[in-house]
Amino acid sequence: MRKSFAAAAVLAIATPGLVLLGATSASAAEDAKLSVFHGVPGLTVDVYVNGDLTLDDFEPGSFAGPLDLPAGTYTVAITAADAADDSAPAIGPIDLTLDAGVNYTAAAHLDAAGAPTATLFTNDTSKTSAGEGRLTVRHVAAAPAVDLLAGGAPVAGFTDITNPNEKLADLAAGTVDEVAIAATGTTDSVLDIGAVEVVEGTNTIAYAWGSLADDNLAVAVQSIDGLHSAPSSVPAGEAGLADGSGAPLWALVAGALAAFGALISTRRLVASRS
Amino acid sequence: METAMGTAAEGRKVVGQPAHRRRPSRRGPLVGLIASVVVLVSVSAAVAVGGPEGNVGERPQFDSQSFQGSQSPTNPASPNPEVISDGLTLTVQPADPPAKQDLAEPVRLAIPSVGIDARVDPTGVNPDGVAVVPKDAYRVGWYKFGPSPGSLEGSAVIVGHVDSKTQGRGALYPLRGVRVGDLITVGLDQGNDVVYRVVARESISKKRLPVSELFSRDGSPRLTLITCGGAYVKALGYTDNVVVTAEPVKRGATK
Repeated sequence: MRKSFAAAAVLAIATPGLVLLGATSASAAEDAKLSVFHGVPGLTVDVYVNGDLTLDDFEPGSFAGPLDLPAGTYTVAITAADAADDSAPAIGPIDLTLDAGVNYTAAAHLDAAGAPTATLFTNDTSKTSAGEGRLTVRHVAAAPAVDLLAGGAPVAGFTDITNPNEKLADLAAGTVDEVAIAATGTTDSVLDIGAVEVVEGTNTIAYAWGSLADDNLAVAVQSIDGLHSAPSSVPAGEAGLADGSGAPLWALVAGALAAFGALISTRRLVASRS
Repeated sequence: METAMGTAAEGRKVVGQPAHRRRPSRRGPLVGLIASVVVLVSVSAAVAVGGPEGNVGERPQFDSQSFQGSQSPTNPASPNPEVISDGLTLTVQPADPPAKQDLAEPVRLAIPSVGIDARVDPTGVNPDGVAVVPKDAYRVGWYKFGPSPGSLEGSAVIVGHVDSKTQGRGALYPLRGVRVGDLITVGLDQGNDVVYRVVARESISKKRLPVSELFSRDGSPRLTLITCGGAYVKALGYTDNVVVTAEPVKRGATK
């Protein structure tokens, strides 16, 4: 896994700049957002939505979307690639009910015992505090309950994750090194992930997918950004040297002297005229 | 008034006018009155402005789309669009973990017109959500979670102390004197410079500081500099923030 992770890193560095995906429509705020994750190893599929072919030749380990869809219920059927229609689905048909303004990921994956299934996850797009990012770990692999490890030790809040469930938390932005997955209660890695970047203002969603028995566990990552908050204030002074509340001291002193001088002179003027 | 622009020696010469032209018995009172009026006017002007900062220029309204829940692919390499039956396009991308982006970071901030030239450190927030300002008042901080200077979108923010109890005037003390049109140069760690032109300088009450707008990651690119200003109340500190907004100058347009 380390090797493919490094390869991905090289690709991403070689291609700077993010390509924003998904059609943004005028009514985006009222639409639901739907991404699709394909996590069934070795099975290229077609995806039918409401009977129409929507995704052709969808490869394992890929995401599609996000799509802006009007709120409602969608019937999804997943067939073997190049099936004539959705009459003999490998997964489903299942009904997905999408609410307005909510961000979802539908995952086609294996259950804990290794049978193909599908799960609709709701992605947490609530705001993160300034300086924090959100980490979500989803278990969609044919494997027992797992713990997330960092540096060989379980990460608080990310233990005993079972298929098809998730654990999530907001963490200080930064790099978490030596991330791995182990069967719950153990520290023997079954999947080395390497360094994970907790990106400020972003929900980084990691999917553990594949099959432990078939030795093809893998990790897939989806990112949802734009959740950031601004700092609350900027305290950038402490000594009062730039105090702008009144006149500078020199002006006050000069003014007092001038007023005193004028008073004396006026008296003299009055005296000289009398 | 020429003496104001002249050398010190010329100034002295003017002051030392021939004694025979003086008529102190008559002019003394008048001169005193005029001097006091001038000084009083200058004093009241300083009070009326409420500090030397004031506002110059106008901070533009930067386009900002709804940003919540925007989504980016984990790997922008070779997107593979799939046309779906009802005409929408779904984009499929590999689900490999994203790599840390190696973006340019600012290392130096210079505003020659007011004598600002400071080193830049990347800074974030304290656990309570307050922006970190470098302890060393001679250095300034770039808000590392927002856009970097030179980014194509959003507000790159640099903060710095106006003063410090131990160091006196801070790096951004002269910000209060920045004028519309002044040029700002930000040096990046990759060796190149980004040049901005000031469009506004404001003194904004800390209670009403529009942080979401100033730290926005959307809209047209700009540089936002923030320090303290306004009145200084011993128990509370400064009442205001001085905010300078600048827009990028196209390459070659500075001369």
